[in-house]
Amino acid sequence: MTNRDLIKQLKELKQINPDKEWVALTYSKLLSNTSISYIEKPNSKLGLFGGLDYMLKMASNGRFSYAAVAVFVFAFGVFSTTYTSKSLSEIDIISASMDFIGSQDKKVRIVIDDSENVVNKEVANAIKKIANEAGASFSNTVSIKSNSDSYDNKDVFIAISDLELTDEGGYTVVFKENSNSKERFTRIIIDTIEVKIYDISQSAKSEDEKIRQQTEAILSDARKAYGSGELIEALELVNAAEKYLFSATESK
Amino acid sequence: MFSKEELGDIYNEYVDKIYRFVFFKINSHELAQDLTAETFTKVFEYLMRTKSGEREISNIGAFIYSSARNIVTDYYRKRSKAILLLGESDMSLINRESPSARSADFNILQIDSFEEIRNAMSRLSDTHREIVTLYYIEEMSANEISGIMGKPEGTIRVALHRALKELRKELRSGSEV
Repeated sequence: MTNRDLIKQLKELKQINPDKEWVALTYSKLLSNTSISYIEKPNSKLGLFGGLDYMLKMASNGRFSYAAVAVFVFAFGVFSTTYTSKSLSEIDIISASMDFIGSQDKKVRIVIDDSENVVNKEVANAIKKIANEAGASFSNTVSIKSNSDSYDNKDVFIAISDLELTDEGGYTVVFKENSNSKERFTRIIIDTIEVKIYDISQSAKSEDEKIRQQTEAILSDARKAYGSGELIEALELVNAAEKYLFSATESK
Repeated sequence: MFSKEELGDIYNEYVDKIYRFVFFKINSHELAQDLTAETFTKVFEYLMRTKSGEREISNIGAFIYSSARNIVTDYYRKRSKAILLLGESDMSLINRESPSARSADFNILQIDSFEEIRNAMSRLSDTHREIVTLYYIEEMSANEISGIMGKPEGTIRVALHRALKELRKELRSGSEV
């Protein structure tokens, strides 16, 4: 065999490639894994656009369409009466919830801390805009009323088929599955997990060693689940860590 | 600091290359995928830690390949019994085609078409196999390979010549079996 023939054979080995599915799956796992490991100063203020965008993605993620029930708790925290004067991108996401009511329709519960009575039409319209941009389809428009008088007559135009109002002023929104938003939707879960792990870890530092260790143990499990791509489990663990820390510090 | 988009571009550019690089060192499809994923994980973790003002990586490709080499080395180190018993020239013995290389994930035609050359490659020394992979399959220059392997360019060229000679010999002996 001549060198020329040999080299020709060798070049043909370039046809050996990894599985395309593996390539895509590894890609998504890589980026999420990388993010959680190396946040140094995370921006705990997820944009309202990002927040709902993610929730829409979450609802559209085919992975969850087979789950009987998967519950996440997201809440937009509104911390000051000057909220309305702030940029809408400065809303802090505390937690969010999502109920899967079927393989096609998913409910996303947005729990809004409206104790300051600042939710208004501006917020509602922003939510609608985000829902549009994230690909939600609109089948109905309804009026959402909160317990607060200031919110009466404010309309939120979002595709919903059902509406629940929680004690905290939450609204259930149903988003139709949209394949375009599939990838983007996972982002909300990812960012929420990252932010919460960081925040909880930071908060635990100021507590006594027992509380800190127990909190970190739960967060360690959350990180592992996150690194494995088990986002639901990771978020549940993160919420569990948060609850533990809260109850442990309250009982002191 | 790299954005996620930039990391995605890096991944798309190098994933197939690194997979092949690892595959021809390990000769196992499943394991090559695992180690490739591990390579990118470590690389991305490093890149995300890099801040402006700190030392930037001037050659991302060389960095990724070097990382892959180290990860494969670590993998072998974990199989320390074989490493201790075998010298580098005998590494080909543990690189012989494993059953997983014939996994259903592979196109059967590919396996049949490439089996002879792959078998011959697996009998090369680790260094020669690596140089052949980078030079002929990934079409890198001797200078680029020099950066990855940490050897002078002249050494790479000499090794390349010897690797081809050895490979022809292996193919000849393989066909005579």
